[in-house]
Amino acid sequence: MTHERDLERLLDSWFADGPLVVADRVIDDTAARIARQGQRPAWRLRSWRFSSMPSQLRLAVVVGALLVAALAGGVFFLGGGSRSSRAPSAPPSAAASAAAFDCAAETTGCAGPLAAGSHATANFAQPFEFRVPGGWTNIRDIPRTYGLEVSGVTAGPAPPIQIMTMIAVADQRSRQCEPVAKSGVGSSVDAIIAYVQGHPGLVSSAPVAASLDGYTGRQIDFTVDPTWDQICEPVDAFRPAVLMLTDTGTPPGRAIAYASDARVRWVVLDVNGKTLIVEYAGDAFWADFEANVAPAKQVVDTIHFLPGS
Amino acid sequence: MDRELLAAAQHGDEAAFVDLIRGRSNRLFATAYRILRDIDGAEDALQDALVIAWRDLRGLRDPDRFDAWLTRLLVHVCIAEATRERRRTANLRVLPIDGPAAPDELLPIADRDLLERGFRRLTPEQRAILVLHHFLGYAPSEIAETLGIPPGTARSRLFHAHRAMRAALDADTRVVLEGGRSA
Repeated sequence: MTHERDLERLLDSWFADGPLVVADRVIDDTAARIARQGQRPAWRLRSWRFSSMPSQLRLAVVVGALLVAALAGGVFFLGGGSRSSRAPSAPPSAAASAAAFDCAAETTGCAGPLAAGSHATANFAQPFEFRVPGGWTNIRDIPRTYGLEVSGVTAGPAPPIQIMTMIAVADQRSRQCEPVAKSGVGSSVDAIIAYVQGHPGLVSSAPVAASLDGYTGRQIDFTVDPTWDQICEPVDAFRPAVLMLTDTGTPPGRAIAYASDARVRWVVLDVNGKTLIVEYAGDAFWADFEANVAPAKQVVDTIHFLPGS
Repeated sequence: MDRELLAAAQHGDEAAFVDLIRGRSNRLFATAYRILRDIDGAEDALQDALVIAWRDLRGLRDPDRFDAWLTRLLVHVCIAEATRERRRTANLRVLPIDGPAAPDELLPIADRDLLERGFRRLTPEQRAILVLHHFLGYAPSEIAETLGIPPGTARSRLFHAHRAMRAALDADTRVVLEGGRSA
């Protein structure tokens, strides 16, 4: 019974048997459920930030960001650098469009839709300038994260880009995925790469050397292991997810977790002695990940880090 | 037509989404049933997967991948449910069999029962891999895409799933034979 060909034939026959038609009520019930379930904005799907923070902490973060925006010109934020050393701010067209743009995850200060051409960060702790073709939007510009994505839900596949600093590896302690730093894990390039490689919930590639604007580091790709079963409710109440990052703030505000349909590339760099991650958050089912990442990589490759922080 | 429905659904048209899934629901349900071996569980898994699909639909950037994406969501929901079920029943010596009530015409009942018991001993991921391969006819590269693992890993896990199924069947056969001899 258990010779290879016999087994294959048995399984073919056995799986062919069994119910093939779903009851109409299942689709009717589904229709009723989706009527009560909103759709997530596209930018929220790749990772989660803030959503399990206590409301007073969320408020503090938002107020902090507002203060930074109000005091633009020469203050420090969470230990960040002098704004006076930063590059020129985004062109007037981008600033004007930002007035009506809702930045990601209740943050403020992002530039919104970007005109083709050169731009610079405004709040990110490690300032940089970069160039984009048309169609890109700055969805987040806060001291620890700078985010870009291709505009519009019908755009071709291209992963959002998140550039992160003030990094700490997170400890996944419960279904609520509170952003708590994991003790005993460093935040150097090597420590973070080793953590990804050794994480039981991830399937990762072999890391390779990487560089950006002359700064060196390592690149690694990963997905959530299909056998991983821990839930991170702020990300997804049904599917497993891996909580990966929080930050060095007190209390930490970042919580980045990846659900099971994510395929992620991290380029982990040492920039002026601080660890910085360039994240390409793609989809695990993409047939050609490299081709889809290429337009985002072209943007990242134009990054020039500026003095500061 | 599907592209138009998908575009409408991505912009919040619930009726378009229901139209879109109606033609796919039988195949998805049949897949879920074969992984979970339970009709109620398969119906619940299908509903959960479809609700997740609706919720996250705006993040689908490549319309051509809709079916693969939907299958992937379903398989992951099934693996999660099977994992929970496995924990609930971990201490039970005899697992219930919820197979189709109609008499099987393709396989002898003894073989079917052996397969059912052997299959339930596999890990949820091994079950999913066998269903993707033998029921949906997926090649290892498609299994890899669905589970989000490298193709080489998918080939290896398919091999191990077959081996685990064979071992489970052999173990069950031995129990039957030994039981027969001692009786």
